[in-house]
This record gives sequence, structure tokens and C-alpha cells, in this order.
Amino acid sequence: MLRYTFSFPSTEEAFIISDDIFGRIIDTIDIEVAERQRLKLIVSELYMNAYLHGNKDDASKPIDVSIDVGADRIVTVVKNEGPGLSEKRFKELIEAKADFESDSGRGIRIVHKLSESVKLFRDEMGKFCIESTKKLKKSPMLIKS
Amino acid sequence: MDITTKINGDVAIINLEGRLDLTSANQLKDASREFFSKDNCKLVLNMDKVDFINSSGLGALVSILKEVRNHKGELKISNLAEYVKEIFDITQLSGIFDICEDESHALRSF
Repeated sequence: MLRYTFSFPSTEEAFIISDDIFGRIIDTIDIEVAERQRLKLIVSELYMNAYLHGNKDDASKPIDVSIDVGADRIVTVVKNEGPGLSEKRFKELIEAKADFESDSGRGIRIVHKLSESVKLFRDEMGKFCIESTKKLKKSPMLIKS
Repeated sequence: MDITTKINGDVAIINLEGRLDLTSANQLKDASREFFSKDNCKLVLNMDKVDFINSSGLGALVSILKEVRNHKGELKISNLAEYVKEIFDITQLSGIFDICEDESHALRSF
């Protein structure tokens, strides 16, 4: 198991840098290109959700990210210090019919569709966490040198 | 994101290259505004070289489509990579946009 962990301030600069870093890391994982793109999208959506809706661009609040690369799955956890999302609201968002007029919930619906499971919880520090588990079609997974 | 435009008759073709995300969404809206703000505009977004799109990028496309419709224009999206098309499908936006296989199909469909 490989684990990558990061903590970024909630700033636009960090947002841009983080996306590049996640992309480079995911590019080192030897999985098919489409799976890699889906994984990049999951991380991007979770991070953007934490940045825009969780910490609301408050630079004093960090966004913590961990990416665990296992033999048959990749687990991404993104933490923020915002009010979080209730299970009820999460369910409403993912079950909502596509609303052309509204952008609300589109990112979380993408994560839900591309992941095998999505969990919401608070960690021991009280931070709000969203965890995506993405199973890999190819197993065992190799890491490029 | 690199954005270039060309005019083919009465159709504006906007070629996109790179990532369509939170940071490039406004860039795209700004670059295409001069075209979609005209009545009866005809616009093709060629996404052949878009290698990544997220919900912010989709939001920008939806926003442009609304503007085009407000001006009684038409918007076509062409040359979607398989992966990008998948994102349109799972967000159920495939049925909202007029998606064409390639630029020539898009031009013929006006």
C-alpha cells in the first residue's frame, strides 16, 4: 500500500498547484488511461468541494488530502473544516434528477458515479471528511518506476 | 487552457485545448462571449484537445448554452474524447447538448 498525504491552505494558488500535484501522482499509477482520468476527476471534485463549499476560500483553514493506493483499490479522503454535508443532503444531491438550470451537486454526483463507495464522516479532530473508494479493474496494480 | 477561434461562413468555431476546470471556465466564457452574445449565433466548440473536464468546466458549458439559447442561437459540441463523453453521460448533460462526432458533422448540422 502506498499512501500520499498533503495539506494545502484554502487559496486559489494552492488550488492550482494541488491539481497539478495530484495529476502527476496519479500519472505514476499504472492503470488504464480512462481509469486514471476518472481518478483525477474524483480527487479534483472532492478538493474543489472542500475549497469552495467547505473552507469557503478561508486561507487559514487547510484542506487535507490522502490518497491510498492499494492492490485493487484507491481510497481518497479529503478533509475540510467546514460545516460538512449531512447524509440526508448527500442523498438528495445524488438522487436528484439532472437539473440543467442548476450546477448544485454536479461535482458530488460525479464522484458518486465514478466511485464504488462514498462515505461522509468526521475525523477525531472534528474535520469533515469525504472518502471515495475506487476499485481498480486491473489487479495486482503495478507502480511505474 | 488554449483557446483559438476561426470563422467558417456564419459559424464561429472555438477550439479548446487543455483542461476545462475552475481556473479555465471563465477564460472560456470570456473568449466565447463575443460570439454567443449575438442573436441567432452559430457556435461550435471543438473539444478534440480537451483532456480533462470537471463540474466547473461543465458549468461553463451550461452557462454558454443558456446564453446561446437566450439569443436564439445554436451551439454544437464536437470531437469529445471518450473519457470526456463519459462525464457528459454520467451528469446527464449528453441529452442537453447537441454533441457531434466531429467538426464537419457539426457544421453540416446547422
